[in-house]
Amino acid sequence: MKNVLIGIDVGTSGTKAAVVDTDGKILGEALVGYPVICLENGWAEQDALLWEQAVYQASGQAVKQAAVLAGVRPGDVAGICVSGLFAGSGVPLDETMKPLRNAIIWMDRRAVLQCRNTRTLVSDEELFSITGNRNDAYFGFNKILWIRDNESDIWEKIRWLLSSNGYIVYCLTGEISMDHTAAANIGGIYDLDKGRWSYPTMERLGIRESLFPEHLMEPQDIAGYLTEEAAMKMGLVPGIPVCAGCTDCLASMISAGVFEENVQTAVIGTSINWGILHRDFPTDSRLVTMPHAIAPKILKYTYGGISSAGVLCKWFLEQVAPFTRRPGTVVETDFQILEKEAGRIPPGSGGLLVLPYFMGERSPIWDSGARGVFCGLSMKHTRAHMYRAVLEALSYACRQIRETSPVFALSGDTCIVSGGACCSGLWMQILADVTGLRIITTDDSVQAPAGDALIAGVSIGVIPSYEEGRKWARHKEVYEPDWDRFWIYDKYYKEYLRLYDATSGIVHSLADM
Amino acid sequence: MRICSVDVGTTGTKAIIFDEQGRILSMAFREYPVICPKVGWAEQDAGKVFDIILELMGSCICNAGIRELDAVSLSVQGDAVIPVDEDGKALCSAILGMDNRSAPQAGWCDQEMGAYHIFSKTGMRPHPINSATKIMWIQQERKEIARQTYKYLTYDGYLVRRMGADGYVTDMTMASRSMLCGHLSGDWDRQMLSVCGIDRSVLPDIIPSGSVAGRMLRQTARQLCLRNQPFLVIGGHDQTCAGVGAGAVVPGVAVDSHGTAEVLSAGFRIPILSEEMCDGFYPCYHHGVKGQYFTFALNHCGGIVFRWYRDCFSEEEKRRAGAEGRKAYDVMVEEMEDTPSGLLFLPHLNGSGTPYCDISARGSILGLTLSTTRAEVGKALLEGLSYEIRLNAERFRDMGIRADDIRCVGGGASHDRTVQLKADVLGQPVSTMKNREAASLGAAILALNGLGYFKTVEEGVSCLVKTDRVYYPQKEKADIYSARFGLYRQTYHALEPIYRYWNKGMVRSL
Repeated sequence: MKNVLIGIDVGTSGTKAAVVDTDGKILGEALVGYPVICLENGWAEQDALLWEQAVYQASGQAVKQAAVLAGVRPGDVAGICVSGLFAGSGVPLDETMKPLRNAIIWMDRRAVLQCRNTRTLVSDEELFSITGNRNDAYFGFNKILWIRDNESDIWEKIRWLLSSNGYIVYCLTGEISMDHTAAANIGGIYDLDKGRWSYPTMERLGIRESLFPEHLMEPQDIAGYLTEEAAMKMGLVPGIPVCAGCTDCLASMISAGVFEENVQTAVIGTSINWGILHRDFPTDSRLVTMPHAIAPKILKYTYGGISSAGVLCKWFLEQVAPFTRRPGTVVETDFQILEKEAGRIPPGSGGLLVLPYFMGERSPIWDSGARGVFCGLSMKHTRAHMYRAVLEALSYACRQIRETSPVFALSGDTCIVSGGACCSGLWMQILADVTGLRIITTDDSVQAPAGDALIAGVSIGVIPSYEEGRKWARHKEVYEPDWDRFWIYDKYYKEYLRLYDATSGIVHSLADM
Repeated sequence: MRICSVDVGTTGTKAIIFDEQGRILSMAFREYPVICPKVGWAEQDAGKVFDIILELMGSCICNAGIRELDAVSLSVQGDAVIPVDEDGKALCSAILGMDNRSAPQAGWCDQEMGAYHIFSKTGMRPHPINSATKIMWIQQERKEIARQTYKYLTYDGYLVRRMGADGYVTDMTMASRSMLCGHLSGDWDRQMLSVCGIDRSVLPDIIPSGSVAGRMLRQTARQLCLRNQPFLVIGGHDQTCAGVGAGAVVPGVAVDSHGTAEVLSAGFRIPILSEEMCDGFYPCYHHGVKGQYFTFALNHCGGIVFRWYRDCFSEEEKRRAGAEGRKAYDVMVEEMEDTPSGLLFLPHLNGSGTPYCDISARGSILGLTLSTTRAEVGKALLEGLSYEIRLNAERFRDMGIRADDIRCVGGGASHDRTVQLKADVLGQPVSTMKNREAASLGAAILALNGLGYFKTVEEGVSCLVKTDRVYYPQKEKADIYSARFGLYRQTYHALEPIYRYWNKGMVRSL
């Protein structure tokens, strides 16, 4: 077999690698996990060396699997592309390219003081007009400044700050690179309109411009070629071209066949990104915008981020309602049992409303002090009602993002959903009924790595264009909205909006005590 | 002396035989169902309750090994209306206190006379809980039964009649809860009767609490293996009986009775008929002690909410408790952290109790994070129940009802940590009682007084009612709870419009 591609995604819970042929067929895949390091409440870090190890292991395993199942030989690999998690500090490297500390990742909420300070240096309006993004502790530049303010000895030693994918590209090729999507995700220092660094803001914020490579690459640009050392660790041959890559949610979208403007898309996993592709400069500072991996200077991806989604379902199942299994053979998972129970509950969950802000919330309220609320409990409520109410709340949160931001005005009546939630039929139907949209789910087994592989294929020319990649998109199910249920949910949705206004002051005071 | 106290609750009856020193000779308990033919309706087969009571008394007498009993004393659930024929047989199921069907009648009384006017006259504001509105409902909606009805009784009058009393009576505590009794005259009020369209002749005579209503039928006594015919005494309403049994016969002593519902009650010497009392849905009726008045705050979502929580979410604790031969409740309480939870849990799963009495209120939990544990939610629920008591205790003080010495009785008083939590949340010492069966003990004291063994009820209380342990608030925690209490209070008002939304058109009621 000739011209197979390797896609690698460095995610929050693990690194996934896939060996893919030019028709989008997965020939081999592997996942290697690692922990999120939480030193204090609200902090989240990861060790870049573990990412690197996981990349070697996962790709090695995927290549072996492809060899066994499809007869792929190391020499058949024509290109590699890496995507990675985003909106963190990046990996701080010294002169010798050794990581100086763990990378502060997207989940981390520590840089609250830095956010307050940078606001006085560059006004919110100005920052938005340059970067197309708001100022929030979530963005990488505030996390970078946290290192400067709290770990001055490390700060002084930093030679390069590379993104997660950029660091892996360095490990594979020895080349230092930064792509547009990762640069935009640092927020604050990327000029979205011009598609380059904003050196004046860097200076005003107090971030050395020499920390980042001046030249920004497009995701499909070849950043370098596989070194002998890396090739050995991955079971490949040296010299394979490696693309600059992009942030992982964009790779997922590419694998879901989302290439055109005004296509609405949602990535629903641990959290939710509800977004759309468009050309114009963004107008709503409650959303996050980054260049799309395809044509980063033209197409933009703007999304609203919902902080806790799948992670909330997991909390509910493990903490609140653990099952006591009856002895005997059980063919269903706990989630399936809970989902079946919740499926029997009528829409509205018997008047039970949930605010899903268990980790604070990003779009559209941007309130890190927000907390979870259950409202409207009665004696007849069971854990199935509560679980359904959680799924409904997450769908209301999507509707709220969609309705409050003008960028979605031109979107059609369809949303392409990728991520782990695709396997919950109940959740997807509720999402369709609450939003009134046709929900198309995609195969959730291999997403970002398949998108990476497509980028690599287009980059080296074994795939003629991204258009070709549309065939790769594996759409699974279509969920049509039911309009009777839509109108029921519509009433609850209005109360959902009121519930946050009614309780946010109380919840903030409670947290401050 | 031997007194058999029969405490007739909504979900079960407990019979206890006491001697004159308040020692328990034997005890028996049995549950029975509440029948809910429609939403908001609650009925009970009074005849079946009577049969069960006879069985319970029989087994108590047998277990105590006695052949003679001085008296049977009744402590009964409030406001269950039982229409009976001339022989004292129930014509239909008892309509229980919690039954809501007479809401239109209550609304009509309110419109006709004004809630506060009625309250200032009778000490009760128009509400479907009252006997008066239920009698009106029967007269308007069940004309056939009303035509056959000789008397409308409550459990006290019904049971003593079935046991052998000649006439039809009720005691002062029960009569003064009906909304038909003038608080000053202590007798059926002519104006109220005419407004409600109830004839004086269908109501029983009123006797003082703790007085003898008759003697047990010889045949019934024999059936119970007794050689004598014990006196039949009406101790009265279960809340006033519990007040006596926990020592709330002097101002300043209040009782926190934590069972299925949670009740904070207190007595006072001059009737309090202020608008605040009326607005807070607090009744002002006669105490079992002559010349004293009584009120209570009710959170009908008490232990029953914790049971809901246990059944929904604590399968694991239940299983573990089962394996270790313990109560799930104890395992759940032990799992809770000692520190205050970071949550606010409003326990109004079946509407809120006093002072809001909002049946459209619901339960809510605020402040959840991904690190919130099940045990923390459970702790927050217990905190919420105690905040409710604090809310009412503060109202009591504002109205001039002292509640300095709070005494915990009922199932909720059985666990050290929950009583300590109550002291911390209330920010004041609370104590437990040597005898937690306060209503039964109170009924026994009232009977011993009625039979002349004690000269006054107060004397009986000072001889037989003993506190056990005092729990003092731990300063650090009490400060946190005090600060949070303000937020707790705010939360109900913040959520009220949302609750109201999906219950549009429903009335405010208990």
